[in-house]
Amino acid sequence: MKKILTNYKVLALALLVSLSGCDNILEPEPRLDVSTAQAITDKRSAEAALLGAYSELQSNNYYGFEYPALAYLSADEVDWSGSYNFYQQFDLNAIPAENSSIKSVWSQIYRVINVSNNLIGKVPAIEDRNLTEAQRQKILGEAYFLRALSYFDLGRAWGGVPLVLKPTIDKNSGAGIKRATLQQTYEQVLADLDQAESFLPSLTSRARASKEAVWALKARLYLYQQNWAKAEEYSTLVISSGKASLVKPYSAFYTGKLTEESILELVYDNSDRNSHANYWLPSSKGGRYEWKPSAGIIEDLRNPQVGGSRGAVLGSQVDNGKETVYGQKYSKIATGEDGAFVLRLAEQYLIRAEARLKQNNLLAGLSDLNEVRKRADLTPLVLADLSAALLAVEQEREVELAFEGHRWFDLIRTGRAETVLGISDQNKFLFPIPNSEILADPDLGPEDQNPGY
Amino acid sequence: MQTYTISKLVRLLFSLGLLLAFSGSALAQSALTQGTVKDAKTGEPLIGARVQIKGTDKGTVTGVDGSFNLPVENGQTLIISSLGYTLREVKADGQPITIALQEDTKALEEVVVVGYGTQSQKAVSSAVTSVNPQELKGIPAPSPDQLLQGKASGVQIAAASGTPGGGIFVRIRGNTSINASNEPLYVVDGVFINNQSLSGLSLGGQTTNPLADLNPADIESIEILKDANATAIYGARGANGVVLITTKRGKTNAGTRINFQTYFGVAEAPKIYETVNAQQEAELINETHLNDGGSLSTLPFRPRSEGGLGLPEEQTTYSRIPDVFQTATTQSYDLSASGGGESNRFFLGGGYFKQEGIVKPAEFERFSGRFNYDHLVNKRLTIGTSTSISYSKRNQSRNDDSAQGVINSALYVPTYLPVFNEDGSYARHSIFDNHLALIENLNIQGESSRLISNLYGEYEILDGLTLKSNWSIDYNAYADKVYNNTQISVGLPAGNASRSESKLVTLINEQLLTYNKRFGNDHFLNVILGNTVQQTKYNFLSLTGRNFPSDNFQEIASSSLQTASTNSSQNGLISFFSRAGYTFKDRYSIDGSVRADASSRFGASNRWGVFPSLGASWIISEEAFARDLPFDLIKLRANIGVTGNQNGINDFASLGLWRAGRNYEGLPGISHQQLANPDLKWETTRQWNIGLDLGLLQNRLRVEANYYNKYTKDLLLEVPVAAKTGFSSVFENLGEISNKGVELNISTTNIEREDLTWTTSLNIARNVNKIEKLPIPINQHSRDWVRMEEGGSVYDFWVYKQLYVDPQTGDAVYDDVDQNGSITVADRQIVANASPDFFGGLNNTVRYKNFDLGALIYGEYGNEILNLNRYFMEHGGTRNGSISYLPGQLNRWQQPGDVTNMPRLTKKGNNYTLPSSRFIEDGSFLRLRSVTLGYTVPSAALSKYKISSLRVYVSGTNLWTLTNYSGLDPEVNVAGNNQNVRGIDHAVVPQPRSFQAGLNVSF
Repeated sequence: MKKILTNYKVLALALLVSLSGCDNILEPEPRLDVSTAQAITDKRSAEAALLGAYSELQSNNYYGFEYPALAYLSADEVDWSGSYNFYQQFDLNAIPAENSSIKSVWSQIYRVINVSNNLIGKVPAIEDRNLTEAQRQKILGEAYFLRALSYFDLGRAWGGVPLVLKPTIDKNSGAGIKRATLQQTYEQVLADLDQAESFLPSLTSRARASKEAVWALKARLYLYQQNWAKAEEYSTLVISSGKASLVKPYSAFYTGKLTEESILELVYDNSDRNSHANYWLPSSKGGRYEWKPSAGIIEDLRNPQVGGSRGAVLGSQVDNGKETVYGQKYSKIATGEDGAFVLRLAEQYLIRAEARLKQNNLLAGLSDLNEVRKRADLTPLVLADLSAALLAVEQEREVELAFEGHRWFDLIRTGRAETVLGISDQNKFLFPIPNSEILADPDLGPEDQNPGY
Repeated sequence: MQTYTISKLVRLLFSLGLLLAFSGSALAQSALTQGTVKDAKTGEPLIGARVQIKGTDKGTVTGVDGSFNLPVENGQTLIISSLGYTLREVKADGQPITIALQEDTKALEEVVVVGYGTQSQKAVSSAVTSVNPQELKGIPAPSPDQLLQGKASGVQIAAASGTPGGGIFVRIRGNTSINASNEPLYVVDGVFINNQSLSGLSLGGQTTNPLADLNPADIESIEILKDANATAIYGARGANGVVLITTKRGKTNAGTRINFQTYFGVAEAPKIYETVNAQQEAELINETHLNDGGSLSTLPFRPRSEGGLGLPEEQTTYSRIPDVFQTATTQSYDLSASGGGESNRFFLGGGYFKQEGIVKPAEFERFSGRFNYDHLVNKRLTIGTSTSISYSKRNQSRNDDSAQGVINSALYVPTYLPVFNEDGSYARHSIFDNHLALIENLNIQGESSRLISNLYGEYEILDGLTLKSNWSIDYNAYADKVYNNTQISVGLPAGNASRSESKLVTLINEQLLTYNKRFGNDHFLNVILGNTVQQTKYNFLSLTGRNFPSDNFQEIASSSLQTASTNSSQNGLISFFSRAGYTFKDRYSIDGSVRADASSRFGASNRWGVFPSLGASWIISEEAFARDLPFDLIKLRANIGVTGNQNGINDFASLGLWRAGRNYEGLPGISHQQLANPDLKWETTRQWNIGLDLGLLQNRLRVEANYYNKYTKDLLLEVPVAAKTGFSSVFENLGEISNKGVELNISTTNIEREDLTWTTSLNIARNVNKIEKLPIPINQHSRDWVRMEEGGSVYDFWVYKQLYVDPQTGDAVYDDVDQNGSITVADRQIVANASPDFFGGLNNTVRYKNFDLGALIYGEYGNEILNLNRYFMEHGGTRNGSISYLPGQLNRWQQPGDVTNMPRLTKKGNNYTLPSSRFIEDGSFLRLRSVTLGYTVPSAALSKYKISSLRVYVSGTNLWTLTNYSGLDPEVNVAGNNQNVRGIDHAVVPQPRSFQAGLNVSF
């Protein structure tokens, strides 16, 4: 009997040993993450979340390369030459609603919006004596700017989109928010830009949103809305702020980093790499040559009367007698430091040129156009005809802003897409709402899809 | 069904006793007859078999090598007997004789290894398949799971590719989950082991198989637990079945036996890719140009004098594909010692295995060691260990879905483009690397270090009541080492290197009380009660270096741009479990089990899951009324149970999280990562199984049939949410999947004579998988080739269905499902499925005198394959100049009236841009998986060399395949890293055809 008792003691001891420390076993803490409640609570975490919003903005799926790529592939600047036919579908202007890039870009833009919404929703209530009012306003200003930029990019590519303005708490957040019209979308962009303008200080870092960046985006928004006077007003604010200048040679703005040219440039480094170059460079340069400059733009860029020093964006190599031409605006494949040029001064000159021409101010318009030409080592254009001058602006935008994702939207807003690109089906001027969204979002039915998809 | 016999030990002890009893009298005799006694099935010598002269009390017992010497007069009859074997009589004629004894299956108290113990074969109500380790020989595969293919009904096993050490697909009774794991639980000598690849590399979807860390030569038996009554004891991890691996142990009082086995093999690709030649390719490119309205003056292949690339017939064809294939060798060596004294037994083994891939430069190499030891401290206390260590090294390469893949770089590049530049350097074209540069410069190493060890103490508290305490570890460290020099495109412009180390350590403590007791003659009770505490920690470290001074430097320290990162995570599981079985009159049995698991992965409200099961069996043939029936065995089994699943989801899936590392400007940033779901809980699978076991003709015909019905609810599903929330999905318990199926095993002894036996076993299974509930469809793989939707099944292909090619226009006509006149995403439909309707294996074994011949045929029927090689290489002109063509493209429509399913060449329209049903093919196959011919050298001829047994053999694998599939191999899967994708072929290394020669010798 005694022996049996001893044995039970052994058993009890074994159980005890094995069960001690159970709490540790069942309640491990995540090491890579914090809970949502801890995310934005003080100055440091708010600043971290703001940097997180920029990080989402610079993602491969947005400004890293995919958003501009979808635009330049859709236009006539770039031809697809790789193996991913979800990019080919943009080149062919035949984009099925289940195209994976459509989905990834759409989703990524809303990631920027959600982080911005969190900042806009939570930063005003932060109680932290280290957070000065100026700092609080700057964080909020940047968040409003990032949200404005996001909705602007959604609007010009897809038309009106669901306008979510509150942070997502659970999967039901945003329920009931249907597609807005494009006009409502742009109104939201403007409202956010107004907020940002009131909160943001003048430019001190070209890698971050500033008052000048707000003006520059406003100028672009008004241009898209054909509000020529406002477009001129805001581009003038940018140009005369003196915060940016056209750098020489042309290639300096993309071979350098955060040059004087930039009003807002997203920066990358070795540990936070941009992979844009990978899609442009041929395999002999370490890329996958997924796409290449089109024959048309090669001709324009190499034309000494049109491209000037901007021909530098073309690289070339000859193997076995065959020339391969590639784009090298993004070429820092070793370091991954190619920038994303969100807003830069040359565009502001061209916005003002167009706005002034549209207001029948031929001389002032041409003068802005020639500022840009002069930097590209071209002689000034002298034109007597407004419409010819407008076409000159169109061509100038093609070569000056090549591979930056402007031309597709430019040709659509000017109504020239059909003529220039030969796309007769107007439905193709908007991307399809991702099919996955029609399925996943109870507020989007098949009837909410853009026509033709 | 091979079973594990407790009585072997008893038999041995008994026989050794006899040996001692008889040895005195045997020595006194003078004229000796020599002989050997062996097991008829395995050919292994039988130790301690009794040899007696009929009608006398004279006799002896066999020694350690199965031999005996006995003075016999010619004409006298010898009676040879051994416990557990059928007695035999042989007439002596003065010559040395070899006697093979058949196992007496009826006489044995057969036991089956089940979770946390064994059960009497008679009492088992579950579907458990045991695989005879003898049957695992002859196939040169590095990992034990791959060897099970075709051996167990209802268990579908397929290698993802022919790359050695690569991922293996294993499904027991179908897929139960979408986002949680579908892999069975692997338990080696009581230790739950990791079977998830730890490699952090993306190599085109290829994975590595952690089970390749185990040496198949160490394995004594493998049991596959399939139904809920067998797996409910594993609770939250039992839903996908359990594979129990038991390794070899020594025997007490058995002396020391040395065993050496080795084989050498050569392998090759049974078939390699073919493409069009340069002239054909040029003609196709020209035709596209003209079809798309291009003018003759700008034809790409026009005379060089006119600025073209030269006429098609002037093109040179550059061959690349044969360069990447090689005749690959395999070598395997295993040396072991096993045995034991009165109070201990041991098994000590070491192995070396090396296998080259048939596509350069892949290679797998493993060093392994095992030490299993048991020590009987006293009558009641036993302590011991099962420990294995291994170090595996992989030389890897990209393949499958990767533009930098070795096969891709040889297969896709247009054939008219040269391999070398004029200056002799490697030429690269379009997105592809130079295949020779890859083969010579690829440097992707994977190193796995593994320790699986268990220490135990077992104490018999009372007769029949024992307490066992186990302390176990699975230590799995995996290192990826990559160096890309500037000869290959990923290394441009100045070289880069990366190193990552993943460490997954599982610690387990387990207490187990076992009570076995027979009351009187009619009542047998078996009870176990236990608990386990398990903790798994994951640590990850990675380093990268870029910009090297030259290709001569490879270490990260030599680079100028360096980054580093670490990550860690952990999870825990606390469990209590019990099983009780009761057998009455050896014919009525009921058993049941229950397990309660608490998991750290779920919130406090749903932390505990309880998983019960109940089963019953009835041996009808023992009943009086059945005695006259022509059956040796009729047994009915039925059971039902509930199991769970929590594997495969991340450790913190229920929490709302923000993640750091979302940096900008070199400053630390955070952004949202995951939506919270505090209600997250287990997936639960309810399964019932009914089975019938029959034995006829003195059990020479045995039939085992099972019907099962599995229903899984509360799937751990990554449910897509509206992207406007900023999130893409949330983990929820939504969705239901069912699997219903039948399994049939028939084994027959066709011929059973003294020197000729022939046995056959056939297994065949059918599983019907259905997604019963799914809130929204979920698409998989690039271009959404695969879709899961309610009413469908896993592995459905979702495409535009091509009806025909219009003979007038040459354009593909697709099924306009919504009949709106245009082909949009609404017209995509499910047209095929990658799962087989039936699959199974046929195993034949013939023994003639000392020869043995085994053949395994494996087949799958009704599975479809998406041939992405054709999708990319019958591109109809859309990839002209960057990707070549397969010969199938030559069947394209050319002029009105042509009837073909290959549309007109064009870059425009949707002839070649849509994911079309055209690329889906029947993947059914029947394959001679292995053939082995062996010869066991008679022991009489060996005894003077102190060799107790010697077998030599030759074998071949995949010698013959019957299939209509047009690709290289029907056994393919490009996306081994995505469990929801199957049956897609895309530059996958085919299963090799190989020949081996080997020997197995014991001293």
